[in-house]
Amino acid sequence: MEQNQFEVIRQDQDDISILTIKGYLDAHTAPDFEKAIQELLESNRYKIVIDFSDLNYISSAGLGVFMGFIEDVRKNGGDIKLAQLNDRVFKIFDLLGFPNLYEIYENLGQAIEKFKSA
Amino acid sequence: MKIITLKRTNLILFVLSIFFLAFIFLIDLGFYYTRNYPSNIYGLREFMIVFALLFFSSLIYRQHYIQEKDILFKLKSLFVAILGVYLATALPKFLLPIQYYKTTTDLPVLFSSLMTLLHSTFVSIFATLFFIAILFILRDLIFYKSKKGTRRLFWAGLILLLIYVLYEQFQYGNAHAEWSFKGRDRVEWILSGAMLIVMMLLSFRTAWVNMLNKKQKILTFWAGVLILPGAIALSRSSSYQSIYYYSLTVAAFDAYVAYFVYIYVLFSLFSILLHLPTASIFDRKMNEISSLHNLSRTISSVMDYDAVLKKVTELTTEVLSSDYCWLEMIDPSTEARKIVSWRGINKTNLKHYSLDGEEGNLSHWIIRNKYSVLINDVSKDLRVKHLKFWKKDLNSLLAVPLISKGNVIGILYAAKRTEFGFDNEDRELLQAFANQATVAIENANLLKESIERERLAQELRVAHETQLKLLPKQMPAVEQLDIEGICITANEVGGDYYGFISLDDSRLGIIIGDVSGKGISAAFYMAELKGIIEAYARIYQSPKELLSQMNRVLYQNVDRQTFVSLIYAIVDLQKNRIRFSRAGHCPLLVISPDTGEVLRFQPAGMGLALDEGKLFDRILDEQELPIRDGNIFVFYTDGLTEARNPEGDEFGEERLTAVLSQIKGKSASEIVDTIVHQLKSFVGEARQHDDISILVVRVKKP
Repeated sequence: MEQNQFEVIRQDQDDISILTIKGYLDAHTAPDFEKAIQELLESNRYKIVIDFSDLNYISSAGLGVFMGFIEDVRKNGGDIKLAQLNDRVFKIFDLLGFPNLYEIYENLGQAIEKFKSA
Repeated sequence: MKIITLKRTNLILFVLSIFFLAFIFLIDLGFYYTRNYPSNIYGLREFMIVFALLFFSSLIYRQHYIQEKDILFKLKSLFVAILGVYLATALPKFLLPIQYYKTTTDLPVLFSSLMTLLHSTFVSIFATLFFIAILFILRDLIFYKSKKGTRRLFWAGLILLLIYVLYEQFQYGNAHAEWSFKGRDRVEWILSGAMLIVMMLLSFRTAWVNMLNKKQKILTFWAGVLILPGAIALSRSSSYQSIYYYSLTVAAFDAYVAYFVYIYVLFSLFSILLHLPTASIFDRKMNEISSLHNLSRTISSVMDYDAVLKKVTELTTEVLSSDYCWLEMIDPSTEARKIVSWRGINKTNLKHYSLDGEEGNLSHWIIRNKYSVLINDVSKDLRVKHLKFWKKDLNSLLAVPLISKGNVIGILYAAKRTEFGFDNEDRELLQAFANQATVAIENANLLKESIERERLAQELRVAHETQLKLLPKQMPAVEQLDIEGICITANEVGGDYYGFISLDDSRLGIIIGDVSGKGISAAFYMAELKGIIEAYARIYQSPKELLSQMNRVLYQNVDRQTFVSLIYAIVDLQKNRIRFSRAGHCPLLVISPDTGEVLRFQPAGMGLALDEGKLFDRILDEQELPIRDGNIFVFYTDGLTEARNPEGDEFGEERLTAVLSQIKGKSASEIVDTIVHQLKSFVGEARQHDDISILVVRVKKP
């Protein structure tokens, strides 16, 4: 059961940063994710798209990471948009009512486009 | 015990030597007064002298200053021993003015006075003692880093000397007084020649010279220069004559050891002379090696991550005598770089530091090529030219990567004010250094992580205990309800909570919730949650109202990462209704008494403390259902449906529903047992990641 590994890959497109998250985002791996977002904010990058396509699982601690930053990001005119969630992950988001708080897109392009057109 | 026996052996050896020498002196005394020396007794006397010498040799060999192996100490003792020979031969000459019979060349010599006899005896004994010591010292110098052959050669030389002495004894024992190269026979020539060759061969063994630093080499050289002419002068002086007169055996031994000393000292002087031009380079090399060794030691001694980083730049500065030194750590995934340790640079400098030049980036180059860079004129290298703006006097730069598992995890920079401040050896050295540093840094990092883990584990244990104390100790005793709850806590993450509030005779409030986050904070929030619910439940009569108020309070009081999913339900046994609201929690499952069908209720709602209130209130829904005899309500937390088997599959809602459709006629506690049993057989050996809570409420109307 060592698919628990978690990985964040950052990719910058102009002023938009795409974080692709992989594996299991839980209490153990949440700090890694936090660090990745923290780094973006430190370099004043507030337009963030999270690519969920390779994420297998997210726990409440993982969800907490989004909540921890969203206020700061939005205050600075940015946003965290979520894209390409698989069914299982979406269900977790949905149950908690996250779709009311975040823009969720079926594919990455839409999310990026949304930033660009804004 | 060992020390005592050693000392006793010393004493025995000493007594034996003194005994032999005293005996010889008595013989000499006897013959001095009788003026007669029978030749057969003279032969016996020489043999006694050989024995006395052997005893003295083993006595001297046993002394700790002869056993000491330090090269500098050896050289000092050699110097002292040679001075000792001078003193032993020259001092008595001043103190005891003597006159030998110059006319005779026959042995034994008839001494002209008692003083002459005394003089001869003392000079011989003391000079020989020093010569024995010298021989041992030379032996150790020659054997330094030598191979087996050298040892054999040395022993061969000693055996030759012994044969020579014995031959001399038999041949001239009673006839020869003038000990010189003149008038020697063929055997003597062959033996002396062979000994000379052996001495020369042994004199090439001067590996110890390499051990000395430049200063020590110069000092040793001058000491040797001082001693050599003095030795030659002394050997020609009449002092040695007194030894010949005392004993031919002793004289032969002393003379050949003396030759050996001259030859060896001469060779050593040449060797030192040859090494002198490279001495300072050699010194630096030695210094570098010792610094590397120092770093290796630091690796095992410094455990603190930050301290290791500091030590790395500190040692780099020391070894390369660089003016500036800094260490960049690199995040392997983002290539983000950060200076973590520096020397010779202040914090203001650091703010203006950037390695991104106009002609490509040096760090990027190193990360890609995983190879070091040596720039000896910074102003002419387009990659780093801009560094001149940062530090005007920075002229040479050396940068080496810290490579771990094929990734560059950091870059170590050393810079000097002078141009051409580094050479390729420095580059290799710093790379070796960096490799060691990588190990040190990673070790410290691992340790840091494991301490953090231990702290976390401790927190979680406290959280776990707190959590258990917050759960109800027994189920509420309500006549028309059969209630059973269970909370299977995971040892790590925990935040599940359930509880009951008796609102009045016919109404019971039921709560099940899950606080996000981990460790002690989750446990504290749970306690807070419990307090808020118990205070508000009696004030706000509808679940929706209660959750809405709770959300406002919680949002103000918890940190942003934390939120709570929860269902609050009020069972009204008078109106036979259940009213509930769901704040982002798992759905409520209801089993109908007739068909056994499992119905799923998931009214709209979002987690508590996610939103300040407006959005929460707008979304939150409240649902009301009639309750009938035999109705079963199942509340649970996501730990149940998200429990995974070893293959990584989740237990899921479907399996839960399937289990629940088979529970007709069972009591609440039997239902809980069934679910747990099914869950366990599904999960098997897999580790539990999250708390699992199940609350079953069965209606049993009379």
